[in-house]
Amino acid sequence: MWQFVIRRLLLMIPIFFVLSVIIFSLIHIVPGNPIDNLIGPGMTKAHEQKLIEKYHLDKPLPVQYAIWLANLFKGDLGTSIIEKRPVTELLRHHLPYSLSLGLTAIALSFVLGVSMGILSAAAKDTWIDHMAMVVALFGVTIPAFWLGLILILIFAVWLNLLPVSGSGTLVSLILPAVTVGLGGAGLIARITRVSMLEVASKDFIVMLHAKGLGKKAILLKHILRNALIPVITILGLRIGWVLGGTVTVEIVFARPGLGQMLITGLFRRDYPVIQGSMLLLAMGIVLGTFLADVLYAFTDPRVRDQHQ
Amino acid sequence: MRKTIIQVCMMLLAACIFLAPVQAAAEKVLYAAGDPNELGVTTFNPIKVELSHEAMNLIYDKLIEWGADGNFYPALIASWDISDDGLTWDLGLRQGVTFHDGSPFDAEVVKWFLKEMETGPSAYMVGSIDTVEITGPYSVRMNLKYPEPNMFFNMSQPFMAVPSMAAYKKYGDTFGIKQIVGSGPYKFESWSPGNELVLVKNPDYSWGPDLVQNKGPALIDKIVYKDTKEESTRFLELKTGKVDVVFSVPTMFISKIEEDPALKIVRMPGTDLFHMIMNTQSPPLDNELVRKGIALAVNQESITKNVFAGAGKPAYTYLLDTLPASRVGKENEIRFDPKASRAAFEEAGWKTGPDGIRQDKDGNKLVLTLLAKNESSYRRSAEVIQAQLAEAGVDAKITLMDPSSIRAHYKKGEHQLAVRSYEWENADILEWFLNSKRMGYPNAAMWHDNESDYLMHKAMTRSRTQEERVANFTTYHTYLLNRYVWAPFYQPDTVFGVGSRVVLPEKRMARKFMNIGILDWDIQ
Repeated sequence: MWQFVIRRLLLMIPIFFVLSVIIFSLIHIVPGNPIDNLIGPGMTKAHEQKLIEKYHLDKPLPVQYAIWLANLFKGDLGTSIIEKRPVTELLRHHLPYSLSLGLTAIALSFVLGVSMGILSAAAKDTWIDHMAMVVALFGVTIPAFWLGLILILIFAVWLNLLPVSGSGTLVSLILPAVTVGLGGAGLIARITRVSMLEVASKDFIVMLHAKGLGKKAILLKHILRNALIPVITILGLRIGWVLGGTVTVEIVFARPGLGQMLITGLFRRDYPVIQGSMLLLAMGIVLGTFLADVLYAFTDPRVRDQHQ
Repeated sequence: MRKTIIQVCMMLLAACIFLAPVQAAAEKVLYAAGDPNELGVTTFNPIKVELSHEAMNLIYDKLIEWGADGNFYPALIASWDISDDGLTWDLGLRQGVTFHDGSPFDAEVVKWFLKEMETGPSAYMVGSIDTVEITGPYSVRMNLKYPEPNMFFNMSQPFMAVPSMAAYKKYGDTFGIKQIVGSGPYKFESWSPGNELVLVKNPDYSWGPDLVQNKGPALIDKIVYKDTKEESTRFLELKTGKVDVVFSVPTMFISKIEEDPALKIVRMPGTDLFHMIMNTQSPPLDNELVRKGIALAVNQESITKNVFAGAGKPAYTYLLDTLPASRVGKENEIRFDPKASRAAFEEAGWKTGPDGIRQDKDGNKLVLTLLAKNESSYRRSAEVIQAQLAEAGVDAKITLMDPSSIRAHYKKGEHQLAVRSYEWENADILEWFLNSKRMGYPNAAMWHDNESDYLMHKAMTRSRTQEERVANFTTYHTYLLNRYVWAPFYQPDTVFGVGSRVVLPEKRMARKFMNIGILDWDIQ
């Protein structure tokens, strides 16, 4: 098992390098540059040149990349060209907002999704199943942006129960977490249902029924445990996604998360901010995948044995 | 004994519960929400920053204040006396002003500040100053290299606000980022990136300019600027009373706010001008008659009504109508005139083809590219202009891009038409956008004309008085209008949504809404 974990960890090193090259290249291929956003009426060419030199934008791209990478290993992600503050400081500020929203939303997705999936699978082809799947479909397809505004309208404007926006309190986390969580719940519910029905048709389940084991015990101890394996994979992949993929929700609820930091940086072409936040988000996805693999191996002895 | 202790504790707890709301209610907090891009960038070193934040106007005092009536009012500079040749400025400074760190504002600070300004991006604002002499503890003399009537405007800008000399020298590079020390009616308290900026009242402030009734301290204890990017959220925050002021209310929410008796709309003269640039070096736009045909085919009234729901006014010149140099006479304005547009195209040799698209003598169709920012007001303006140009026989193909990509496109010079806007309250914006030394960007019209450059230099550097400057800029502006380098179409009002708690003064003399005029605001 440990051999498997170490091998997966070592694999993350080349992935990190490849990611850093892709992120750096992509943002520099896109037209535009941050200096144009800083130059306003009256400012001289000399000042523009001074800024270009200050941020090494006059150097060839490989040199710029080498400078960025060298600083990265020293824990320095550079300074925001627009905000003039260290990127690490900005990330430290924005990350907790994304983490709190992402993790709450994932927990909500898991609990809601698995519950709906079990309910649906247990009552296959009944109205409960159909209703649960309609709700799941609704969660998957409805745009988070729209859902967020509708939830604000109902719970903040009409019922006056929750705040429209904000980020300082636990109460202000409820609406954004539900908005993000519903999408994930829909997906997990559908996967749980399909997976449970598939496991339920396996020979060993028929054998358990034949042995006279209780329906409830078979469902929860044997079917669900096996059916959760793909759900865990999806959850792992969503960890990285919810950190940066919730940008529309962050914008609707005015939450200063990583997604919002990235989008603002992108529009301003603030290279250090974009590179820093994209790298963190990408590594979040890599880490999420790693965790999913480890959990997968932990829950499924076949995977573990295969690697041994 | 034990019972007594419990009783005392209960009494203390009850006292805390009853007193806490009283204390909280005593503090007057104003919440203002805006798009972070509109509120600005949160670096507060007026000498070194390229981009400013709204709060800069409250943290720092300016040397001069610019009123809504267009006049300049004493602020940190209490009086001025300018020599007839415009080269010697004797300035009397306001006494009794202290910065937030307790250091005094005096002649020494002004001398240091005007010198230090030369090191930053806004050095051009003091470019005309030769030397500064201290003539007394609260008076200085500025000797200018050439007359600069625009100095009043420069001194009224947040980029020329005065920081504490002591703090600036003490903190160096981190000044304006970690330490922010001005002398304004509010002090910097905290900043949470992408979230909120908090200012607290400067209790020692007592030197408000003549523009305000209350000379200080401010009546509102705390101001919280909230970064709220989504306009629907801003509107709902205002509606639910979570914020008191919303910056730049979009057109679609204006009527909704007006319908709500608890809310109100405040309109201020706009500082933006929407226009369509024409690349004067890209055929057939290098032909002035073609540009004239296009400019006169743009129906300003229709765009103002249909795209912006009348939340502003049509623009007929290249400058804001609040600026004196915009008064060029009706005959020089660019107004929708389909007949004259058709005549210009015909004279240029572009006749209407069988499909309604104009063609030249070689059969080439009048097909042009039209760039626009990927935001609703720009996109919709471009769509309406596209339809209007189609009426005139021009086939405009729209391409939407983000602002940074558009600027990169301008630099290549491959564009033809582009819908854009600028925000600047001075006639010198014409120099910025149409100086032949800045081809590509900012001179996206790729305008290179010797007569134009001559008139521009005359207006920029050879005006001795404000009146002369206005006259020179009017001539330059008139010349440009008659060359049809842009097609102006819209000047939006700056619209704010205000909640029921805010008590505004009946008469507002400040030029900007949440500016120094906030000294006269109160919270119910």
